[in-house]
Amino acid sequence: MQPNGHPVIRIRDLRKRYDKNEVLHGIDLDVYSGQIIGYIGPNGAGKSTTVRILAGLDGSYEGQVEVAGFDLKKDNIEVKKIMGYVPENAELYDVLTPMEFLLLAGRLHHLTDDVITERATQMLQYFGLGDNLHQRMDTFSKGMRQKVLLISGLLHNPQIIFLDEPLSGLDANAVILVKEIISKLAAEGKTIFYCSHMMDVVEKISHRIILIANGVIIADGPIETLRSQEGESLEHIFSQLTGGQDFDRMADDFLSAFKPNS
Amino acid sequence: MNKVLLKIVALFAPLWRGMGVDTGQMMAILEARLLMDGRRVSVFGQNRQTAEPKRQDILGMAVFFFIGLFMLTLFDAFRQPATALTVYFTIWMFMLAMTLISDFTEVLIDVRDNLIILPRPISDRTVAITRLLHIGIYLFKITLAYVIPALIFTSIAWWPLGGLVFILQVFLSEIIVIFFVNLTYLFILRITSPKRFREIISWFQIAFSVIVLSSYYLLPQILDFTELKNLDILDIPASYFLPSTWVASLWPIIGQGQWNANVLMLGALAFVTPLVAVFLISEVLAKHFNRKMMALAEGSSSEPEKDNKAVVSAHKNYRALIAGLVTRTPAERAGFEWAWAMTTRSRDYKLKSYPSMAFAVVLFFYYSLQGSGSLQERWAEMSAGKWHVLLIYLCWMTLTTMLYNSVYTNKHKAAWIFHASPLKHPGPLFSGTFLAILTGYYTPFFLVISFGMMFIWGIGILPDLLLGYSNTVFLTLLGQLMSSKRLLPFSSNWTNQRKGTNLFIAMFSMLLVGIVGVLHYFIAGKIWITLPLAVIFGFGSWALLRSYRQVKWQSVFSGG
Repeated sequence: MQPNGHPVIRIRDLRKRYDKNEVLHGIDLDVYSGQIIGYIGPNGAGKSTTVRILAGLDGSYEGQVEVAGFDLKKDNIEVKKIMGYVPENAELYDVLTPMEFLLLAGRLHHLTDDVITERATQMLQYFGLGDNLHQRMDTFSKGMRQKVLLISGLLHNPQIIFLDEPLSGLDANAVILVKEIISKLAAEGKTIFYCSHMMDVVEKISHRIILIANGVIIADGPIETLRSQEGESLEHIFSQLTGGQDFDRMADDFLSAFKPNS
Repeated sequence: MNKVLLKIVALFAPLWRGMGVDTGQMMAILEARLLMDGRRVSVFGQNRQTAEPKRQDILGMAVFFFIGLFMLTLFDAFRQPATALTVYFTIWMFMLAMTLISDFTEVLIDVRDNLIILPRPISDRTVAITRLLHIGIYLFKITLAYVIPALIFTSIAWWPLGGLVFILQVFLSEIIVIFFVNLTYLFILRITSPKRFREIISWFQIAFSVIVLSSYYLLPQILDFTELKNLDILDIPASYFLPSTWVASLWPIIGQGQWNANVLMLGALAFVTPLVAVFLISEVLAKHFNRKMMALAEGSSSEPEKDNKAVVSAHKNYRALIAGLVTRTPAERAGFEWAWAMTTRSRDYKLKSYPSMAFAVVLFFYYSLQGSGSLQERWAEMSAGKWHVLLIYLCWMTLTTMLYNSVYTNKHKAAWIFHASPLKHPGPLFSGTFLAILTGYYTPFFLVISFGMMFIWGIGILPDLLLGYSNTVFLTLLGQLMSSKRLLPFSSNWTNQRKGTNLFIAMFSMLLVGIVGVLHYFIAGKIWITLPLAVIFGFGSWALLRSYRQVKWQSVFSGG
């Protein structure tokens, strides 16, 4: 996929500090529309910090970030208008019903109640929640909540979508459906930022994989390119680049805990 | 109710827009917030057992309305309006402050907002003003419920100015309360880490429910209204330090033309304090507060608990020491240490169990101080009699409540670990939990109560205390063994309460305790009977504990 035109997201020398601790050490990145970015990295690498900044949740960074031509610091609200964000861990107000929650989400994007009701009803039906429209979500399973959360991030038809472990808790059929939806959204020219620890999914779904570790990007490219450089599977590439530990020996050590005082 | 309030807010749309607020977004958030308030279990609704709380806000309002109605008796009890108003506003300001801290804090620091509201295209100003309006609506609701009876009364009785002055007083008192709540938050955040903030708030909740409960039962017993009738609060200089006295003094000044220096000074304070408060809140406190709240919201997910570690290990040693003394098998020890940790650390358990300790004492004074005569006379009568037996057996109720609560937790699903384990029979879990509550909660509680009792009735009641202790433990164990539908400790959700309880057994246990209590009353003080009986029932408890350890899986109710 050959990118053309201006990048949708343009990051130059992005740095972020917590107190005196720098967690992002100068990130440069161009993302074009229609791309699915698989954004991976070990825990604490700066992954969610980047996503928080890009989603406009954290304005205290150094460097330049432009989204769809807007400066993220200056035109925060303009950026959020075209952006959809699906946080991990199914955070939602669970004493509300899906319909009430989606009305809240949609109204914050200035959609009319008719549009919200129509879209929400359809989308919930496609996800098999047609019977639960007016049932409080505190009785929902994790998968059901995740579906509502996904819809709340897509309801306003955003141009850029941040997904953080979007498949967690979903059953196999829903996983296939969501993956299809993501591909079709990208085909329509939307940009998708896909963060996950599930390497096999990231490998299959992404057009381009970005691996971040210790606050810097250490690999960037389509899976084919990464494969030719580092190894066969993304899982393998990941462990090569981020630690290169000997997992075989570690597994042996783990099992040796059963042996008496060796 | 909510719809009307939202309509009223919407009426002022041009004003909000003028302040730079997106009214569409504001209304959307307010509507969702009010819905959520109605479904949130509040301090007033926590004893209700419905799985899906609804209209909790109305319930809270009803509570405030009836308290407000009851407060009308103050205007009859005191001849001086200023005195009645001072008491009225003292109670009001206290209740409002405690409600805001214990009930509304969770709404104020809802961390989910950061992930649900903030990623949307919404300005900081809209978020801030929407939050203020939400607090305003919340305050308006409970204020309205509480003051309506007194407003009607003052409007009619003190026509024509009464009602107007009263509204002014309510308004001023509210600002002062908000100021103090603000200061309290900042103080708590200053002395503690954000992590512990919720912990401290739950202590406020415990204190609040205990104070409300005990004043409801005990104040009418303690206060002698005939003597207070002629009291003039303005004659008591100490009361000049109460903000409620300042607010109350406005009526003598405006309505009764009482213009002496003292009263005028109080009236001035009533106006100046809110002015200063508004200035401080908007200029100084708000900034501090927002910064701290941000830290609170962010710190909750990423920061590891550093300061907690030391506390945990210190507890462990003490716990291990007791565990070694009272438990017999590894399984029982596991049950003991687990239940000890669960009961001492989980907020919801403490929130339900601590009030039950206070309740025993409150109920005792409620019954023992009944009768006529002055408080001193009734107190003397009580301490001359054998009332201590009643208190001892009220403690049984505390132990039983604490055991009853030990079945429930918010993390009930974690009980899978016991079903998955190859435990031959679950008895050790039950006995371990019982021992943990007995040694961790009940025995210290009983010791404190015993010292209190010996202070009143003298050291001579020691044998009675020993017998009472053995009996309450014996009877509690007996009740537990009789129960057929028992649930594993910490295996059920609070909202599923009652499923496993057995009403008949509970009634029977209570009857039994009553009979034992009466019998004890007749032999109280006769050491040659009570001491041997204490030893016998002590052994009895030990025997019952042995069979409690043998409880089989078959008798465990596996529905929750």
